[in-house]
Amino acid sequence: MNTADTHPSGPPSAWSWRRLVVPVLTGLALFCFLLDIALGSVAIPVKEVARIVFGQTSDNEAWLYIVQKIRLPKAVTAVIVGCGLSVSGLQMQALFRNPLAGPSELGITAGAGLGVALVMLGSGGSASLYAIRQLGIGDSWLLVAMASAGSALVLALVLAIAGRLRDNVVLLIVGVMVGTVTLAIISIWQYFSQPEQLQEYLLWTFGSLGGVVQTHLYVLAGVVAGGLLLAFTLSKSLNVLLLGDNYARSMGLNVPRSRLLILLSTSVLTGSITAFCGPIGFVGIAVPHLTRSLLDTADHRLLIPTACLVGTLLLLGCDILSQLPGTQAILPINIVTSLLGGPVVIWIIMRRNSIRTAF
Amino acid sequence: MNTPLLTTHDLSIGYPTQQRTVAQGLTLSLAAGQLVCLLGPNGAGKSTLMRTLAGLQTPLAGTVKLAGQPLTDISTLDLARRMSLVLAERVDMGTMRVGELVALGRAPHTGRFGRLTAIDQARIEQALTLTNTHRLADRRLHQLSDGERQTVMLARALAQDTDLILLDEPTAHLDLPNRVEMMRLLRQLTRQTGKAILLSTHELDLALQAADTLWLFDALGQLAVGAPEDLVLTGAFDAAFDKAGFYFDRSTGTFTMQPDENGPSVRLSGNESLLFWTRRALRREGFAIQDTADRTVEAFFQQGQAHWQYTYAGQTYTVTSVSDLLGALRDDLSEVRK
Repeated sequence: MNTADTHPSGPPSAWSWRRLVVPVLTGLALFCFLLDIALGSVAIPVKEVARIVFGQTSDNEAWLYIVQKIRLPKAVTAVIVGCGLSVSGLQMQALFRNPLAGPSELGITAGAGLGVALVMLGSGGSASLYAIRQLGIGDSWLLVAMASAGSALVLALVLAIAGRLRDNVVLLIVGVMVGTVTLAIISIWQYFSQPEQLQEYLLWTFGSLGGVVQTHLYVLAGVVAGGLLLAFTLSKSLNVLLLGDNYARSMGLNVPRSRLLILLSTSVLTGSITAFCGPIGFVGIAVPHLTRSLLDTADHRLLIPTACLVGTLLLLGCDILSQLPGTQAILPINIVTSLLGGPVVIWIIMRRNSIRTAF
Repeated sequence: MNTPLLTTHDLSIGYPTQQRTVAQGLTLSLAAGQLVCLLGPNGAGKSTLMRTLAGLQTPLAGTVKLAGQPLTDISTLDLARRMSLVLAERVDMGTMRVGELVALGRAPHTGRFGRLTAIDQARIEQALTLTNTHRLADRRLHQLSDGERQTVMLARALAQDTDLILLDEPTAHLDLPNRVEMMRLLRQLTRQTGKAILLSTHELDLALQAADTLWLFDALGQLAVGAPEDLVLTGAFDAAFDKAGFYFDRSTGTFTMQPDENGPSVRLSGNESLLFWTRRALRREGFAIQDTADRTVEAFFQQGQAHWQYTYAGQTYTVTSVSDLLGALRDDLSEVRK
């Protein structure tokens, strides 16, 4: 429901500009999408880019190839990652009733990394960018399944511990500890690996939007779309869960079932994205906060679609910045999101004065 | 006589994992339009009983029935349409607005995406009107005082539109005017809407004034049930809160600090309207009020002015305020001690 629907007495000025949030975000996201494709080591005019993206044709063969095979998949990956991680974080914050919850903060991405590592161990290779690119479509499903299972495992563990905690910050420490243990398990395997495999693994941990080839993109897009759809059908449950388990139950919610479905959606979103793009931090914690302050609501029916837009915009922006405009160098995406996301979280906590009301 | 809405039969409550039975053999009933207060000292089992009746905790033995149907046979959703809760736990969601919170009360009645129909809107309006919280609808939860917060949680329960509302200590953390207001509101709701309301509370004097029926736990988990006045007259109150140092005064319905048995005593007589407050002052000062005492205090009006005449060992003082009276008594006592 919209706040204005329930009580028309609300201040009209406070919400009239909020009506513009979604159209403005959509316009900005579209613009950044084209800009992201236009920018790069080879200069291609924006007009040509738009022609190739929407008309699928160009006179310049090289431009056509670069846009269709390299830049368009990367931009689409940025959109998928932005949507998936943002909604994943939004669900986790409602599930834990904790504004500091997020996929990378509570060790969920580390769990996905463990799943990725296990697949590579099983197939005798290494969890490297190179190895992931060589996977066939069947293997990539296995990778998604294992990464999601790894995420679910860590999430269930943190959730079980969280049931015994009351303190928001202590939960964050538990999440960091669980993440550290998970990473340590991966490190044991790394220790027994070849140096060149280690280098590849390190590249994977930096995160990359460009490593997703077209066949994998279909898998990733399908899985993330499923996860987002599931999340949206859970929006009423997420709203009710904000009041806590006892209230939620007294309001007719099947709490264990809802928790399980939220856990499923969150794990699939985080797992699949981390498997293909590496651990990308801070998007999952920062975007929900930005979205809440933009919309000024706690209603997940509005928050979920809007968080997708904000996440898309953020990821595309980060990707544009990662190409270091004017140079040939490309920064790893994880570094850019952390550089931007960390201060955003601190700013939110400071501005709200207390994390108890930042939610 | 109304048919009972909520009944229990031979109910035992407690914690199976700790092998602790809090109370047993509870056979209770709650009828529509009734305001029932659950009272008892800390640790007597009030919360355990509330949780068990709400279905948040399973009974050790016996049954809880809602309109004749065992609680275990009712689905979570169906139960939510018939019974709503206001819990003692504090809900922290800063950015949620009061209007959104109250609208969430419609959750058991709305579809998968929680779209509000005209009926839902009407129920939300009604809940805001009954609790007089329209003016708060646009405020965020973290902007509310404790009293307002409890009231909007009640509004949410009203929007849920159930025949029965359970409230766990709704007056805790509230100041006196807000406590009185909450009780007045709950009593008014039972009269206006015919809902049955059960609340646990520590507010003895408010419960005595507002409740139709009291459920009174003593420290041993025995439950006495009856009209407030009956429980006072049968001495159930004295038994439930029996502790050294104070006693339950049946004539005033309040707990009073017990005077020292070896302390001084005073015989008190005179004008009825002055006696009540004089008695309180003397008791606070440590005097027992006894008809056999050799100190006497007589309170009377003379030309519209209150006077107290204090007589002891042949000497008489007349003063015109309680403060002066206590001063005279103190002087006398210190003389005796010397």
